[in-house]
Amino acid sequence: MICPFFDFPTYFFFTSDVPPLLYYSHIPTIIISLFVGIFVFLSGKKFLLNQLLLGVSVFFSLWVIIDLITWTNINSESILFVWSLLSLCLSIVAILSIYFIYVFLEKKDVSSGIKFVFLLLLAPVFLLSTTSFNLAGFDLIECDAFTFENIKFYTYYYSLGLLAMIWIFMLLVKHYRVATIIIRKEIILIGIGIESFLFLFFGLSYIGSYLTTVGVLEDSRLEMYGLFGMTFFISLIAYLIIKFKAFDIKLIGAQALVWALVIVIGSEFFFVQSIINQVLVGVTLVISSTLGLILVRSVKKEIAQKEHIEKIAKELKRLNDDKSEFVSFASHQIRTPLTSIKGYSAEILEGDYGELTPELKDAVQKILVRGTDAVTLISQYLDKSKMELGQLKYDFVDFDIVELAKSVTKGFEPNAEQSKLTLKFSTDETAPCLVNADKGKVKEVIGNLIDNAIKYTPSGSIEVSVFKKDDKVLVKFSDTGVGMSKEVIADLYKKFGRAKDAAKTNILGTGLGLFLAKTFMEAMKGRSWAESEGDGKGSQFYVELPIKS
Amino acid sequence: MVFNINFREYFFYYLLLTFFLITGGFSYFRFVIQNDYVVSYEGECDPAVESCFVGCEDDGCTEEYFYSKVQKYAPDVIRECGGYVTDCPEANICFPIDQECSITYCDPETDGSDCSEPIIEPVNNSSIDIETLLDKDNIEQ
Repeated sequence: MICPFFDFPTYFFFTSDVPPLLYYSHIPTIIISLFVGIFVFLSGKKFLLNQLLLGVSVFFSLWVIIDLITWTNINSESILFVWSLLSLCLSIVAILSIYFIYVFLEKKDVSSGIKFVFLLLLAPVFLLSTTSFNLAGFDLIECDAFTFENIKFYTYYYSLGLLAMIWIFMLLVKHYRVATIIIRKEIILIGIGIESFLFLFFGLSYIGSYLTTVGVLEDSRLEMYGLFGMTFFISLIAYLIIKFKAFDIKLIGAQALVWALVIVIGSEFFFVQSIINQVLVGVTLVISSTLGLILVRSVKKEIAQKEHIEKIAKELKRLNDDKSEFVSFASHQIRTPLTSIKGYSAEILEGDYGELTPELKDAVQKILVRGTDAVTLISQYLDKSKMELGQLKYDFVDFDIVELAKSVTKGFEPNAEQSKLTLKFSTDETAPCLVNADKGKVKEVIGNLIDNAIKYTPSGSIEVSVFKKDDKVLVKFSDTGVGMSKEVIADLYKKFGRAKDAAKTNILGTGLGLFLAKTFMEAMKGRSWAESEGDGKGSQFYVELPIKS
Repeated sequence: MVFNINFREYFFYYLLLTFFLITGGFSYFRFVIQNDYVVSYEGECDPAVESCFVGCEDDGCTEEYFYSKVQKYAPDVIRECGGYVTDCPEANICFPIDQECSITYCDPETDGSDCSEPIIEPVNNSSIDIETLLDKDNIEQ
């Protein structure tokens, strides 16, 4: 039967007897919802999550299409036929929303028991939606069926929306508590999206329907605002895809932006009336699509390059780690026999194995010096490798730095003697000067700086002195060696930063000693630096540590 | 085997879709084939005889009309009037063969000011016809 006071719609949907917001709230929402649902589904057909999002978007879109038909059509049979299906679509959207969130959070399908509960909740709607309990008749004057709807029945199926909101909220809270920071962000976004959608869609539809049924409102146009909840939800889904690669989709922001633009401009076709405006919208659509395509291609190319570089960088880091591990292993294996050689040489020189001829003493002294050099060099490589692998550890203890510096200096006397240099130790401190640091590493730094001073001082003297300055203690290494310019000093403490022409004086240097000294001292809340008045004017190196209060 | 696996995997969807299609089929049968529903519309009402609902012809309500509320079983209306109730006198009458039919007139107790003013028959001047009374009633209002 035909509603007597309304005009037949053009192309099934278009009529002037409806609020202007109707098309703006319905058509773009259908397009966006279906577009994203189908896109996500096609990107991963086998994933349950993608299938469920498609399910939600399809049944939601079906509801919107049916709603559009009820607004625009004037044939009572057609309207009642689709009107009776509104309850089904709404109920299925509510249940699929719970299912969707469950799979999103649990990363697995729901149990058969829960599926049974879902079907049980839907059963009354399936059984009663086509009966008079749902719809008994049709008002030809208003051209709707609000007055013939059963409030109890639609309160039931709308309450499924409320149930979905509560169920989803509980699932979100449960998973949020045990999730990592990144997963928490995803949970918050999906939670806000789905809850807003359900609240606006079910809430405003119910209020609109109820108030119209009881005669407070003339029509249910309030529900139109509820549809924007889906657009908001879909926007957050798109953000999740871009930011967190959700649904196993690689989508870039530019693509999403271009698609959104095309959909919005394309939707204009449904609203503009005049031919000129339609042509203008068409031209705008073509231009924005073409430019968007170019933009997406260009961004995709850049992203591909960036990903390629990141991949190479990762591979290089892995190779570097492998190399560091190998160097660490090899260094350790070489250092062990060298330490034995060094130890035995020292014992021979001290006369533990009998008197030595001057020639033999000279030869053993050379073995000891070269052995010490090799052990130092290997230790430095070992430290650097450990540092790169993140395996370097500090063992903080309280010790007297004056005593340590003195003993290390004494240990280098044979080397200085071999190089015909004078090595002196001096201090004004009479009481112990305690510091809290890694004793082994401080010893290594002091030894390394004395060793350097010996190597870069062709003739003259080297002095190691310890003194207090404010709340800090300084160890100063002065030599009458080659000295260095300010430019050289600037690069001296960098990794592999050796002084120019250093190789001529010290072939065995690694360029790691000062870098390690600086790294160690800074890790122990101290510092190390160098001073020199210029080439040929000697150098002063400093090590500074806070005094233990 | 493949069919079985897929069927089990999509069982829930198949079930939902099947129920949806069955329900849709029932709905189509009930509303489109059988027209199993009632329709309500505004029937004719003579304010001289009955207390009528008063409607407005335009937004400013410069012109009024009178109507009763009719509810009839759709197949009866289709049989009597086709698809249109306007210009169909049968739509305003409840016939004995009608399965479901009711005509509701305005009740001043429940509908209040929405009802037309009752017209009192003049005692000494019975020759005044209804048209004249209607015109007079309109002028007074």
